[in-house]
Amino acid sequence: MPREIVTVQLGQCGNQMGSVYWQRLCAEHGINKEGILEEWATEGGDRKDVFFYQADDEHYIPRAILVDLEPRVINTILTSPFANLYNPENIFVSKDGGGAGNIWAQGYGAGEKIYEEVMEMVDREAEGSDSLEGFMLMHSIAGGTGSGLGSFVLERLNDRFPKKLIQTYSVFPNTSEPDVVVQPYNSLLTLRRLVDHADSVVVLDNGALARIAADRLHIQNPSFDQTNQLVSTVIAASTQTLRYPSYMNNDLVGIVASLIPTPRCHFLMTSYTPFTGDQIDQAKSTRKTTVLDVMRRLLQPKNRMVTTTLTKASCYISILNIIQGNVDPTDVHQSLLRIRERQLANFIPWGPASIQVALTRKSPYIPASHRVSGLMLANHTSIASLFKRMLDQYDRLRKRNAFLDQYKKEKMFENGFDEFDESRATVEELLREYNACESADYISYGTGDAEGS
Amino acid sequence: MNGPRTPGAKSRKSHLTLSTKQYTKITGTIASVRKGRHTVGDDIEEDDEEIQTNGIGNRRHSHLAKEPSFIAEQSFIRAPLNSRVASRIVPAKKGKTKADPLDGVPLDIQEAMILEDLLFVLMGIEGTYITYNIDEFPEDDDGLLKGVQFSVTPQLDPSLRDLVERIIPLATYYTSISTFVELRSHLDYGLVNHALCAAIRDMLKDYQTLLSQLEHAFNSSSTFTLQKLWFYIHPTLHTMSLIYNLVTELTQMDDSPSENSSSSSDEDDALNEALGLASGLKAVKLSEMSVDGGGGIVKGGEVVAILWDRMQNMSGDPTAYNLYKTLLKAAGKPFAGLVERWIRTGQLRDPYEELMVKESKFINKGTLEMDYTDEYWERRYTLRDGSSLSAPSKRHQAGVPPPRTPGGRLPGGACIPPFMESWKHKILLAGKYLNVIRECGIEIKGDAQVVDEEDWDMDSEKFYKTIEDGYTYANRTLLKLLMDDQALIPRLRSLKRYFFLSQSSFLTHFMDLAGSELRKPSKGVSTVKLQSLLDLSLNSGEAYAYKEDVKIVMATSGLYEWLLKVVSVSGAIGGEGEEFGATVGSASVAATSVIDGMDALTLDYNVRFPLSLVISRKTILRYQLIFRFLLHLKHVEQMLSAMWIDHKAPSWRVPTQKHTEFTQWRTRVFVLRARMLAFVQQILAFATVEVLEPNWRKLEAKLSKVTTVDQLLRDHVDFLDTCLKECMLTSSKLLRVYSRMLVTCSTFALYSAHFTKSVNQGVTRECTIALTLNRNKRWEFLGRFETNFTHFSKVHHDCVQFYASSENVALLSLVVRLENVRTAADRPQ
Repeated sequence: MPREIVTVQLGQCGNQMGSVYWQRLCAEHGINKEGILEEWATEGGDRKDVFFYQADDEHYIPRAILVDLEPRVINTILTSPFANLYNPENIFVSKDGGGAGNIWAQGYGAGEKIYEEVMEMVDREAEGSDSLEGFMLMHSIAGGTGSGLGSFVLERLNDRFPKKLIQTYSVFPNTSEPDVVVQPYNSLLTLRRLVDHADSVVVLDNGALARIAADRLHIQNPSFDQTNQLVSTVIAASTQTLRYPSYMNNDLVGIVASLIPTPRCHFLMTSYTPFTGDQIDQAKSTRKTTVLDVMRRLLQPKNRMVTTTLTKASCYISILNIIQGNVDPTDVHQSLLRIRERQLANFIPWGPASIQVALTRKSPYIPASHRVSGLMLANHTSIASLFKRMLDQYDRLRKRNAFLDQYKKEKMFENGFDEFDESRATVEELLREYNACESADYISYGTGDAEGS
Repeated sequence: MNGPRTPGAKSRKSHLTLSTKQYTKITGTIASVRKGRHTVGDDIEEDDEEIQTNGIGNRRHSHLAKEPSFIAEQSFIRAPLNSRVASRIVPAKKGKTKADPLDGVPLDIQEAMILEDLLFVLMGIEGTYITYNIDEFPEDDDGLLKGVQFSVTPQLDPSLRDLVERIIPLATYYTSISTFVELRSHLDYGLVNHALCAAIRDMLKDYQTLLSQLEHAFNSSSTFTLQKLWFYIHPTLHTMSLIYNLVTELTQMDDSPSENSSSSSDEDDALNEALGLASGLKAVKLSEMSVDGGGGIVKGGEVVAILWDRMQNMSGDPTAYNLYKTLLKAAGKPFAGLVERWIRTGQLRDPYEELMVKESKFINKGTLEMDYTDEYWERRYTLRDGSSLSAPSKRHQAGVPPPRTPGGRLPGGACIPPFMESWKHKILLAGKYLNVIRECGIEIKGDAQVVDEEDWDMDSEKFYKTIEDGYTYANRTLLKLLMDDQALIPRLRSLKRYFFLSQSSFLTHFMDLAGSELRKPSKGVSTVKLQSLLDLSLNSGEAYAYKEDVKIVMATSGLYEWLLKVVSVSGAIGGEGEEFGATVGSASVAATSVIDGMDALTLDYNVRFPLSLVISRKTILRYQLIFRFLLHLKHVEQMLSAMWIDHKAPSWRVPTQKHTEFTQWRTRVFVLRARMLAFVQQILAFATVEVLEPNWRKLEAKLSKVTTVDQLLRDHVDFLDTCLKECMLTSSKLLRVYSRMLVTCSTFALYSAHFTKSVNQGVTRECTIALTLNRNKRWEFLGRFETNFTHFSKVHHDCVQFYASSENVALLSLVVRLENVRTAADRPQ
């Protein structure tokens, strides 16, 4: 069918996320781990072909490309029960097997070498689609492969498919407890590519994920797998309207276009409720859900999967709520009125903004203890505070010129660290633009003359 | 003199004949009267009553059962009993038989002579002293129906004469009634008249028996006096007068001219011409003529109705009540039989047009597929009085005969007996449903069932129960047929999917595939190609039910021009089917502007009988309207999304702090695009989530409980009309503003490439002078769109708000939605 989306999973984090995500999609569509449709999966009405294609023998194969510079994670996938799900031709593991050593520059540099092979996979997938809608990139921006190679792939994809949408699911590092010392460098360099070459970035903040796991689910030290389940739930929900088509929001561009009015401010944050034992092992809380409950909880900052600092001026540029389950449309209307009355959400003063609601069905194959669940995709100006934190961390590190040796080794940085400065400028410019968005003068942003003519 | 005498308190029952027992009693009494004139006992009367009522009942049954069928033989054509009664009363020629003068004849001789004469006259035969009233002697049958007037010779002694003149009206009644029987037995007058005549003839026979008994008494008893004759005959006189009144009413109704018939047939012609049913036209004309030729004979339902009215009006008079009741029962039998066969089998065998249900044979199920009116369902079977269940007060149909001038009763079969008035729709529908079932080739249980024809009594509970049962059975069977065998609900669901785009991914794919084809002018578009592309998009991916029935059609005019035309013609969509049909034609003629393929694109849906009763052309048209409305929105949404894709190009997003004016202009373009997209998406979301989906759920809930097929049809059409109204497709003012909005949006999106060019120039900015020129043009160009959009969105918003607060409450939530996406630019300063 139309409007296919090709998923590119990069690095350790990207592949781990991806593998959980595909398991979830298979469960939702009634596809078993061999890629064969279960006999009981007859209720239909879903579109599997956005994310899967069918091989000659009726196997459903994910439109996924798995790339890593070290074999560990991919080997785990290939020894898991879902090994046969993927197209082996779409798995790329660097022959050196050394990885990127958590250095952005190494990952980026490796990109030059493996460019041909990866792009061949991408081209093959693109040609295998009737009308490709775009790409979904899964990676983290802290490490080496996901950030470095990810940046490289992002640049090339945008170059090669200028009219295709590129959406990334980017895991942002936990800024308070860095895993990797050069993380601020890696993040900043990747962020520049995300600003310039991605069309929509779903920000998944590791810190916030840990917080949600602790507060909402009462898991103090969530494992990778538990965090990944949280993430895969969010990604699956955000693609729900594509997979279970309804009246509206059946293509990615329709969703994204309304969320992102100006092309640079394309960093989206998410909330999901309720997380229950269905999605996360060992999760404890289950609650009764109504549409109003769900929509109100989605707006609560503590449910956001990004930790940001709210100021009085910060506001929403746009909101899309994807409500899953059998919902009476009139409930939605009532809930929106209530939220409006109580002014639970502030919006930008200069553009059209409201809570859009997409109603979608749930997968009939996954039993749920709650009636309604919801995902919020929101474009919020407070995301700037996240960039601010990253800039601060970067500045602290850069001031001391710490850990730069590893970067110097690569070709890109042989002649100095202009790249760092340019990236910083880009991120700072983005920060400014987000701040400007909070004011009504944004449409005359830059001059002050409202009419300009 | 001619009026009936009020019967004495003693004679409470109709006295028409004397049984043998009575007869001996009477002769015995006569004998005793001769001895002593004072011993006439009341007991005679009492015996009379019992015996006579029994006698009439029994004989009638046996007689009717043996009624021979008609043979095409001269003597039988007028009436089967022609040979037995004097067929034509001809006045004796003057002077042929010269009566002996009565002057000077003794009184008792005079009495005997006049008695003998009377016995003739009561048989309708002219006597010697009682002769036809020559001056008033009727020329033709119609006159005879009024009865022959007799006059008594003036020489008769006044004492006798008074009594004789009291008796003579009986003779007039007799002649009138027998003429009626003779004339109206003819089959042209229908089965009901025929049965009525048979019943009256039975009564006449009893009357003749009485006469012969009296004659015997006259011959054998010397004390049989005129007084005695009067004594025996006066109850009969009352009965006969009642029959005579009935007969007169029945015949007089015929004579009143039907003036309006020509005008109604004109209407009919016009209607049929409009519908282009040439064959139908002829048929209608023929049937019209045959009705006119018959001169509006009183027959069928009208006879029953008249009898019923009389019975009700006379219920204070037991004699009259019982008489009319007997006649009603007899006359109603064939009528009830017609009704019964109709509700049991759905077959209409009504050659004389006596039943209230009319069949238009020229309308068959084939016409369902081509015309916009629900011909088959609405018109094939109708009530002759033109009323319909959906609009009980309105007489919408041509071909309904004008009511009779006196009394206002509809003539012939169109007249529904008052006691059936409340049942008429059930009767019509029961047969109609059965017919549909029969058309589908399904056995109807009533076919095999044999019903005991003997106990048809229209007054009884049983009769009503039969109607009720027939109706329930037909209803249930057809509903089951539609719901279960024909899978109506899945069908409707598929309509929802294809026309309301409840899973619109197929459309997105189709529009991707057919984009280039749809940009051509609609005349140049290849429907075949589009169809194959549609099939392709429906075939890939998940299986859609009934996808083979979806067809591509190109409309001849744009949706909004067409809707505006429809709305301005009929005030609101949804009135009459004909209006729709008519406007389709006129709109296509008027459409002069060229529209492109996208605007003309619409879907069609093939449905076969009997589902086409529910999913008729009329309803498909409504589905198409909504589809085109949604399609247009989707298309504009896609155009704006495509523009968004353009705007993600580097030239749109690279930061250019140096040229703030340029950055500002870019942002303004983004914001305008976002405003338009928000507007389109809000309208789309409102139409789908708040109009179509809730209404659809209501419909499904209704359909799960629906008990009658007509209710089902009504629910379905109501559903569509509500959707149309709440989608704002029925108000010309809203439509006009709304279409301007969409035109602004799509034009803006069309100029996307133009804007991108400006941006590229702005980024590279080779020449500063050109840039300044360029800059002014750029701003002016954007400014025009901004002004337009801001203006129309304000007008649109006000308009929606006005309608939401006045006639269309459902729009309230749209007001909220639009309010939410309004920006500073939209708000009054």
